[in-house]
Amino acid sequence: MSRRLQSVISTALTLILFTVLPIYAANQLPSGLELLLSQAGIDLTNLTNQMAMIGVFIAVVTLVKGFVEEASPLYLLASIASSVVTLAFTLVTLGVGDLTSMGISTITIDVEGGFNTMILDFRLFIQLAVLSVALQIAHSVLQFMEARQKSKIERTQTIPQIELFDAPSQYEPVIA
Amino acid sequence: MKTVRVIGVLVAAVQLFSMLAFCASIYTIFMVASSTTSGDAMAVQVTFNEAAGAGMISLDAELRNEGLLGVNLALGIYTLNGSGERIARNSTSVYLEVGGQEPVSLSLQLTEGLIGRLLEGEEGCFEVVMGVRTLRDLVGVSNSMTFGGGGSA
Repeated sequence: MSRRLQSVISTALTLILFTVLPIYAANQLPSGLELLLSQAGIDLTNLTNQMAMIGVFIAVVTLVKGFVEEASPLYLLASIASSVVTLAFTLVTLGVGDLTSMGISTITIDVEGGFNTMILDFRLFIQLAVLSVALQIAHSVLQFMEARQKSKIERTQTIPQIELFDAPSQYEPVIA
Repeated sequence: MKTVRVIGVLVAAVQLFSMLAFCASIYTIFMVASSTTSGDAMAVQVTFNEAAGAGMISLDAELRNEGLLGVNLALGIYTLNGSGERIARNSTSVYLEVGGQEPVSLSLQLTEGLIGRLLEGEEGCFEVVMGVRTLRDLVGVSNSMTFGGGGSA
């Protein structure tokens, strides 16, 4: 399978997973739950829009990666951008729409005669996501360096060997 | 070449571990929270002893872990004053292995007058807190139910 075809398939899967699925899931939620979430201060439309936008960005970057050479700086840039945006997706999802919560979310719901406060502590998964992104960036940089080195070697091998011959006669001054 | 491969394997391992840990811990927390709060598993009662002029708030719970990982479960009952400070408390925490079960009983003794004022929302409020932590306490959910109306917590 060619790299281009692979990237087109990856792009389609990324779009389904990160964009279509969250929007579909949000539309399928019962209206009662939607109301409960809005009472808890969770803007579901905003959350799904953020997730969908990030999904589109990741899909575009995936497509770009398939159509540029691995030794190209654009490929490295796309790889790094893809990793960073995936981290943003994790932050938005685990922060229930709040990118800055860093894994700790507080949800307060008014109930009859009082209120219910829920604190979600998912900092471990944010730390793991940061570690994964750092490793992915290191992987991309090393892969880029390797591809560049490989293409340099290939280029030197494909350059036709120019036979050096003595042709000073062409340039020798013609003595009349 | 070798370093690139090692880092690639590390990335895959971290991502796989994250995914499995996330699914297992969410499932465990959900199962523990739902089995503890559903049906007759947890009951909060307010009783009065008019002769002694005292009242008691009691919380009885049957804690069960039907999840995939061991959990630390914390339960507490509190009374809060008007400014949201905890003025009386009784709390406990237990470690439950997978499939473990443990009954917990907590009570707070207060004056009848204070309980009356708390219930009517004239002064402070009651708070029941349940915290579930798993994966060596690295992941957790805490739920605090405040009722009585007078608190600002």
